[in-house]
Amino acid sequence: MSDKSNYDDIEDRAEERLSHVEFDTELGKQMARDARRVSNDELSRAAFEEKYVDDVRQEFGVDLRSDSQADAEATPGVPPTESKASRRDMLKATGALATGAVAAGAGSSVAGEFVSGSTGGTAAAQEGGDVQMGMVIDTTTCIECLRCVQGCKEENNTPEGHFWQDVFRFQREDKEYDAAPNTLEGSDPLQRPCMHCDDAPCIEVCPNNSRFKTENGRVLCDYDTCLGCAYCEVACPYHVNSFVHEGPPDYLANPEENEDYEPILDDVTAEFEDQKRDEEGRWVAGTPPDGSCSKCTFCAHRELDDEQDGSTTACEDVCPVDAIQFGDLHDPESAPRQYLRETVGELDDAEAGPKQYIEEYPDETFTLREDASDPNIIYVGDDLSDVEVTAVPGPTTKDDRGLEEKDRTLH
Amino acid sequence: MTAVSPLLPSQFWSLSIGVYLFLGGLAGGAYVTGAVADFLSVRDPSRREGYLATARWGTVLGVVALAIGGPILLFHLGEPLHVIMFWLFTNFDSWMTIGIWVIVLFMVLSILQALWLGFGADRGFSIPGDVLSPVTGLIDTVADTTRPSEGVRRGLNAFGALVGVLLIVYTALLLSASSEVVPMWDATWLPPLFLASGLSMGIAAAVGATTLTRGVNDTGVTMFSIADDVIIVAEMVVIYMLLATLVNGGPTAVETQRYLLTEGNVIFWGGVVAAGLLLPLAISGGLLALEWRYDLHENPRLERLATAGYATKFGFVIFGGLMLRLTIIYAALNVPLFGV
Repeated sequence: MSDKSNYDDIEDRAEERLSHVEFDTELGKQMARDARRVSNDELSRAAFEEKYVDDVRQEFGVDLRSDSQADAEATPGVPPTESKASRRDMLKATGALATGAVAAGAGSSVAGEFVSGSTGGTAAAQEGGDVQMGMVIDTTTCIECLRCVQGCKEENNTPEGHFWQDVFRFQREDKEYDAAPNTLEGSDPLQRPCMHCDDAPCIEVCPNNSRFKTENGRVLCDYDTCLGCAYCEVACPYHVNSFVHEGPPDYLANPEENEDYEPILDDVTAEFEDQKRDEEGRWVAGTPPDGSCSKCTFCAHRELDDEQDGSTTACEDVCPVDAIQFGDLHDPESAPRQYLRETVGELDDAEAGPKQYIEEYPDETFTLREDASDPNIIYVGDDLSDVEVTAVPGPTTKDDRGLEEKDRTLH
Repeated sequence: MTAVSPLLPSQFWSLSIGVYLFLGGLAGGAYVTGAVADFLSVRDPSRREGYLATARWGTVLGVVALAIGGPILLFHLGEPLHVIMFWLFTNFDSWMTIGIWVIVLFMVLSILQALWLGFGADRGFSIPGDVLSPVTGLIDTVADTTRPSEGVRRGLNAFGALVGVLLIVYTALLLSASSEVVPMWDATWLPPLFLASGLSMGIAAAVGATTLTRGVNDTGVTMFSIADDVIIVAEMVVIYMLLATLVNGGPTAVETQRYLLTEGNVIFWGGVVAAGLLLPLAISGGLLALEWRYDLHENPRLERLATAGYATKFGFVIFGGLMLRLTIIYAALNVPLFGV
């Protein structure tokens, strides 16, 4: 493919969608082209940053070299974040800029699509209408700090006792632990967001179509019509749905009055107290109302908000060890696909879908309850489906983070 | 077994859903019983009045049970007012959607049959009193105006019986749609179990009402009771098959079976098996022996005894049906997210 044809789609899309924005559209187009060059290993990150750092600061007031706000403060026991995957960070930053530029002129849904393309890899992959947002989650690098749990809680302002992202800490019966169960060495983790399944059982059972799949593969709930019948809670193999009995806890609304609670996000919570509606007017994100059944949205509100970066999720942003990779699983250039290539290996068939990893690398990757659904969370690590486990505190508990511990049943 | 499983199914669906499933099964079963009695009233004129009484009770109990169960279901919802947007209920992959429309159809058919069998020219209900006469007079007029030919009415009644069966089975399929998450709600055995239990409860309710109001002589009570006994035996076989399936299933299924037979033994062994299955069979056996030995027409005291005996049997059957559904809800365990 010629160099020109590689970038024609960016030119066409940018002309169409950046025509009304107040920002420098030429800068946006040039950055998008160069971002793809970085993605294709035709340009180094350093060269990219050098080329655009001044323009970006001047145009958008953003430091291209800085990390996200969520990483601003170090947490005791948590490694610093400078070691994050370089190429991906750059692409994230570019996606954030593109969000603002595109959304300002073309509407939030277009922004989301564009941003997904910029982060997830090629824009062409998005235009194919075959996008499936998902995650690759590395259980081997997770340090059980629960920042993802807290970051999700803060950003989504979730109800009392709800944890859309959770981290289970446990000991496997088939493994010997030399350390205490309240240490990282003495426990294993499993991060559990919604799996946004291809054949989501919650969608299948939802009587009035309140649960639905978006064009980019998110499974969302329309709170305007949700009955609160709890059928989704019953049917979900991953137990990710929660009935909303009451609003967000006080420590989210008034963190300054709760000495035990130390926020990790600066000013995001306030942004997401409102209802977030999609282009069809459906209330799909923001704090869910009492009486509904809510769950992880892959931070869909970010896609719907002109000021937000829809190419990432809160849990991904705050993870200090990059154990969570979010993007279009169908796009070979997306962050999760790149992560799989770099940490697990190449697929025999480069065109094969991401779930082929489970077939080709069964000792390094796994999915959960694939007998009951078709999840879009691919785990890196030892499969734990068929081993006995015992829940343990791990090095960090929710209490340590000032979060209420949810009553969890062991049987 | 140790595994991580955040919540139990009964923490989502508990008493109200169990009672609703019970009332749904009872409604469908009562209607089916009434429809059968309606046809028998033609084939056996000597018991016509008794059968027609059962037919009327079937329709009335069908309406009443759902009239109670519907609001229970509604108030279980977190957002009951959203039901107003009924046009959104179009996801026919969901048994809840199918069930909602089955209920609507069932209610229409039940009310129509109750209207035609109980009001107007037939005046089956024979509601007395001058105070109500303006109202009943109006209903009588509506009944006579809308009443189709007997052939069409019975055809509709047969169709209603099919809808009644679907109503009973749907209450099981609603659960068994999640059998991969909750092994107790086995997709193979829960539908026949609920069908058998629903029909048994329906007979108990509709024929039990006839028993209480008209006694056991020439009302077909004994025949229906024997049919009920056969269904109870079939239900016992299905319960055994369900337990056998669980004990041969995965770890959660095995744990469910163990829980059922140990911690859940009072409600299962006591409520379902003893009170709901064995005791009715025992009472029925005793009553059949009584009827075989004595002519109840000749002995009013024994007839009263038989009436009380059948009413008691039917009462235990209905109680057992409720216990069965509560057991199915409360003894259910989730397949854990991970671990075994």
